[in-house]
Amino acid sequence: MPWRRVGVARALIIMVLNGETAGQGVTGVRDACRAWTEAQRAAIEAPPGARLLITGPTGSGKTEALMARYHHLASQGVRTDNILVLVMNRPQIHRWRAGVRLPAAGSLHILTYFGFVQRELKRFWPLVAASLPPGRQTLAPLFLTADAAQYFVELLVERKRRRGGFRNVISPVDRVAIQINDNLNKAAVAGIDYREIGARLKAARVAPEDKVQAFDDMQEVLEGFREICLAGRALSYGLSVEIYRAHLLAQPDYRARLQAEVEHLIVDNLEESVPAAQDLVALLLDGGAGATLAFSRDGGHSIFWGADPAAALAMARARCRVVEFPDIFTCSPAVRDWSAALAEAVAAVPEAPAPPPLAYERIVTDLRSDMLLAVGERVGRLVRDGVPPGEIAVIAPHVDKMLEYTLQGLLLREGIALKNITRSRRLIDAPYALALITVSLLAHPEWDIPPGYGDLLESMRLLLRLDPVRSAVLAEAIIARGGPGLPALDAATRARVGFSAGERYDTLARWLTDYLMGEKLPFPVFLQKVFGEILAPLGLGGEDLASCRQLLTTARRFALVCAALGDFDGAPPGRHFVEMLRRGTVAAESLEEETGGEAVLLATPYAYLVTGQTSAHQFWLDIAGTGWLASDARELTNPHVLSRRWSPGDCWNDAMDQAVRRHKAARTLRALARRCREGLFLAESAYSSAGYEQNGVLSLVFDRLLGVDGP
Amino acid sequence: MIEMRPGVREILAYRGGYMAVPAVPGAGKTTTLACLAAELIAAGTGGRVLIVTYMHAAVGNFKQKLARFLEEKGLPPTRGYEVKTLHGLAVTVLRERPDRLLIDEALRVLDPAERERILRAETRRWIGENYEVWQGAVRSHAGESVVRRRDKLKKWERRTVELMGQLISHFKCRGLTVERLEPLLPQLAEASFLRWAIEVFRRYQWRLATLARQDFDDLILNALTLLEEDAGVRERLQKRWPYIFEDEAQDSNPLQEKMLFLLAGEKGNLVRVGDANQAIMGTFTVAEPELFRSFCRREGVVVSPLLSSSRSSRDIIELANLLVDWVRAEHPTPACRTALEGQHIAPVPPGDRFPNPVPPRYTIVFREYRTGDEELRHVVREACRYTRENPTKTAAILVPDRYVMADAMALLDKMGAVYREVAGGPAERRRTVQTLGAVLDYLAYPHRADKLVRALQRTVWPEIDEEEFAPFRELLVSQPLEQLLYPLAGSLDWARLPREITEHPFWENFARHLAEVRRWLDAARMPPESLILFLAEELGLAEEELAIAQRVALAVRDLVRENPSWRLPDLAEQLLLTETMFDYFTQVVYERKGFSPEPGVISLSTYHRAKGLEWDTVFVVGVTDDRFPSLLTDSFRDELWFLRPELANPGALARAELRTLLGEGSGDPVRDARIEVIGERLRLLYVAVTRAKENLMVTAHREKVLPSGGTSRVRPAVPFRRLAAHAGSRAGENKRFGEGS
Repeated sequence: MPWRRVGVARALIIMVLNGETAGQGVTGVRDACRAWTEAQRAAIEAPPGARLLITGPTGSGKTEALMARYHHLASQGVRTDNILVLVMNRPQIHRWRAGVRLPAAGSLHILTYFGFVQRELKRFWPLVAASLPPGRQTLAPLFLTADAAQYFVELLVERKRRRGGFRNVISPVDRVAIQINDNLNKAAVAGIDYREIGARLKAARVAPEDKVQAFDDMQEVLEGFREICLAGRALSYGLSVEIYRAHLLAQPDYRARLQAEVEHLIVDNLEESVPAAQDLVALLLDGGAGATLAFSRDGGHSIFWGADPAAALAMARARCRVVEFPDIFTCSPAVRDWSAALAEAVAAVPEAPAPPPLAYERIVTDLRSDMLLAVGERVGRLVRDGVPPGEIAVIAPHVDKMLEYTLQGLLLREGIALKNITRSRRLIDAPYALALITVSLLAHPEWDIPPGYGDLLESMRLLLRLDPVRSAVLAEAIIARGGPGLPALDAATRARVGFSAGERYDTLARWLTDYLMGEKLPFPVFLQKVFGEILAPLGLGGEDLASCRQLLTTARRFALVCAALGDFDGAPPGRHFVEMLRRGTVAAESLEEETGGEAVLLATPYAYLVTGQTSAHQFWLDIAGTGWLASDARELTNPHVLSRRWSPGDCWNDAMDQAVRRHKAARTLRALARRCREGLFLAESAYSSAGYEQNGVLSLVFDRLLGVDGP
Repeated sequence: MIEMRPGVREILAYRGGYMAVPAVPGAGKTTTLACLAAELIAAGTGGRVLIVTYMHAAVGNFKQKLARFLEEKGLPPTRGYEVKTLHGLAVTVLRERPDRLLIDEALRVLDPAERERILRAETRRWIGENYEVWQGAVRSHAGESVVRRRDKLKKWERRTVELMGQLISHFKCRGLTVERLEPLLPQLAEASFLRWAIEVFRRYQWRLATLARQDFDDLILNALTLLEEDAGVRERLQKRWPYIFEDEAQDSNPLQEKMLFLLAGEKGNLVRVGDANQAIMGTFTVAEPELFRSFCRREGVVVSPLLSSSRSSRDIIELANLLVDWVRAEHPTPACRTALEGQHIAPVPPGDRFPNPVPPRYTIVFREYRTGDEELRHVVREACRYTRENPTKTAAILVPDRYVMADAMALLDKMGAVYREVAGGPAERRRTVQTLGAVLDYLAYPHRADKLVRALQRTVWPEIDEEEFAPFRELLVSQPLEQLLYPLAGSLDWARLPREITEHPFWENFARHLAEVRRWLDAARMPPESLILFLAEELGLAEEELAIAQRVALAVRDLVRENPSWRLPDLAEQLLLTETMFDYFTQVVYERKGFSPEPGVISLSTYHRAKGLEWDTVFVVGVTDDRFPSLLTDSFRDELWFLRPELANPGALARAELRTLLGEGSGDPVRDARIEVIGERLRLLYVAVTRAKENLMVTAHREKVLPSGGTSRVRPAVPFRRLAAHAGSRAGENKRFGEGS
């Protein structure tokens, strides 16, 4: 997974988008396997107080069994209020909500671990607040959004860099900030003291050298940020978990109450859970709750995000009876065996040729652009041959614009839809969001960010319903005359843009003058006013409307955060908000496209795997690149060093790095193969998009497996 | 099958250890190495043979030859080896563990244009803060006019930027970091060029860090650092590449050499092939020809020379060998007599499948002209005549620099000659980027007719020649564009358009293209990265051009990330200003298949770019003593006449000062630099004459036209005169150049 700014966006998008795609739903599955296997039935119908650990490979029907178990418990009289369901992510929540159909249910408690933490902090805030160090007085905690946290850490990193910090770090500010936030989060979920983060990462480096100073710089930024947040009671993900564990879970009264509340615990994807969540599970189980936990043996895809499958398994085994679901329903037994051979070949050196028991084709080109064309052409051919588009998945370690655009273009010509579930767009690129911001800049000269010519051109075009040429004429005139507000037009310009556009312009100019002369509004209110008085009359719909709404919501939340964090650097909150948007920190939430499952899927391996989907045909792209064997270690973060199982004093060396890369790739490929039913296409190019020769290991592994390598 | 010429058998018997292969021009070193690689692969290496070359074209060449040998052996043609340029190798190494050096895995590299811009900005800033000491280096005359003084300072400023760039490169190639150099500052005088460079270096590195980029030198240095510091990575790569071949080893620099030694490891399976007499990269890079020579002398290194060559006629070989002998025995500057190794080219033995060409008579000509213009005109005419009369033969004009290149192109164009710039002129390759830049530039300023005209000329109307296009251009410029593209009801009376336009056969296309422009304008709302891809599709780009467009999209994504508030106008400006930004990539895509001269098409190349190539007939232009100095008192182009005489070669002075401070001894830096230049130019001449298979014409002139309009005397270079005397004595039988060959 590329873990950059798009990483933030991506994580959001995955959550939003996958709700529907994951919807095989419990009903669907129950139809498909009308008869449960013996093991499944036994697990579903076990007595409510039983503690079961269901283990089995991907596609063995664990989730479906859990849902059936939930129904069974309810039918046995366990109140849904007393059943806590912990799932991996938002798409899974949707999947559960869609799957659980109870005639007269109480409230459903289906949450992610973090959702649970947030809920508890809200419920018991007065209790928590009393034990926190002095800070802002609040009635409820304020949860910092990922984009706001990202933005403020970026500012701190920049400040440090200006003072000579991060001198040897060759990495952009946004990426550095992501890693710092990430460290805070990982340490929190592993229960590691945030004060040790820098030292721990530093100690794990092999040689003392000029580069270690960066870790001290990082620690300084990280502590500074945490301090501001804590004082303002603005809780980031990591801080929430930390506070929940230290200030709530530590209180015996609370623990007793929680244990009494949860009569039965259901956990799906236990293998993707973080240690803090595992602690919670252990606590509830030790308090006497019944439990049904599901653990996938080919999971562990979230290790980078702090998950610890081995610890989860050990914790659950010690407390539960293990029930094995051995059968896979998503691929043939032959593919299951081959996927294991593939994983072995990737993890170590392949022994002997072992071609896949699927139809397969290799696509090898010189230039990456040609590879993309070839892939598009093959996808088109499959569809022409009668394969439903929804049965085709194109999977690449980096889903970039080139890939999306090429594929989309080729498929569109044949009337085939493409659904990119990893797409991320900046909110600022949504045209009406930009227009809102441009008007804000015109109305707030004191922010000292005059709108650029390009911003004005785009905004005039939308707000005045103008063609691009006349908008450009206007934009140039506005720039030439300068602000604040909008200048009066001279006769020549007026003649060029036309009479009615000129009138619309005057109206907008007057509106701005009125505002500039009158009382200043807080920026979220101002934005609301612009939206209501200028944009809404244009009759927006669909994505345009959604992007404006998102902008307004984000602004409201951001204003609260600014109020909580206090005077960050003297700049007005509105200015910070605009700056954050212009940096592209905020990703646009996409509306779910109505493709009815009849779209070719484009995804990264991770995004694909968490949808829980299967496909008849899979395309694995860029197998000569290094993306498939990406490391978990980054410049300033490393989930393994920030895990409980790391022994301080160890060094993160090349052998570990290699082992982790290979095992991760092996795990990913095995899980992918187990979701593939008919055909596999392997595509690679000799040169990357940036023009570098590619000789990645995966391509060689396939040479060996397919028996085309040399002696 | 490979021809078993002297030396080949020994090389093919190689199975391990260090081996040096000194090879003369045309000795078939690529073929021999490819054959050896195939032998090793067939025997089983346990990994892959790594072949490192210096040019993208050579990568393609190698791959093709190796694939053929492997196929002959019934092996898969693309397996068992990796061919990389040095930069490709550095990227491969760094990708193994970028986190180890705190580098973002994207490994963003500063493109040359951006590098230049940062250098310029930082140098100017430095000059601003140190103006007095900086301008003190410039020579001043009593009564000098203000204009003249300003002119000199302007030149000095430009040269200072270049100097800083060269010295920073020099530091990096010596593995010297800012941290290592800064402690030297207290020992350096205010006026020391080395001090200036260290100070600019510090700022330059800081800028790079904030941009999160490495420059090309950093790539190599960081790859080496990773190999040095991380035994795990090093051992893994040693296993991956049990054999390493280095091509053009005479162009190696100390960092590269170190990297290859590290990768070769203790087993030392390293084969280095080169020709010390063709070491011509010293002025452009920090290559050190001495490295290969000393490798050949090292203990434990097996030397297997390849001295037979079938490329040239015996007469041309005789001439090249004469140049070697003359330099070594009689060069007027004794210190330059080691510039060429005493290594003779031998013709191939009788019975060789590819014998040396045998022209009917002596076909080497040396000719002098009064001016450079006259010289070039005559050569171009001769080249045109030759290709006309010999349509199956290949021919090339080799010129000393890009200025003469431009003149030659103008003349060739005028004569309607079919020619091609070797390795595709940068101009030709930048077309895609320029086209995209021009369209973006218009889309950023949709009301600007001048920009629309340029965008259209670069895209849908290139075929319209000036005259025919004029009325349409007139129309675009005279009418407000909004009325043409988006007429409001009744605002444009089509009926009143001149009939010359509406009845023009092109009129329908024009209207259609306006619709196309509207489509582009509609698309201009897309995020810029998508817009580029959209335009690539609209313009029907394919293959290399499509790859370039995608590369541009990638760069645009990075630019927007780094400059979040940038919109189209900024991006368009960036693309138009820094089209060189994509030179690395275009070079990769266009040269990956190598270059082969086409019969009937005149190749045009600088001496430098001609390396590794051959033609039936070669014209070597401009062999004058200002370009090929021989005496320490000659004029040297890298010396700056406007500086105080003792400071005329600032680069050499700074490097010498650095050597002294690092305790490496010095000498007379200016003299040493001159000796180096003389030597390198001699080797360049050697490269030029050895490109010819059958016919060779070498020319020079006696008068140089100055920018002021006046002339100054130059002379044919000393080696020109020496070789001309030899050719003259043998050319009795020669009547007309190239005739009947």
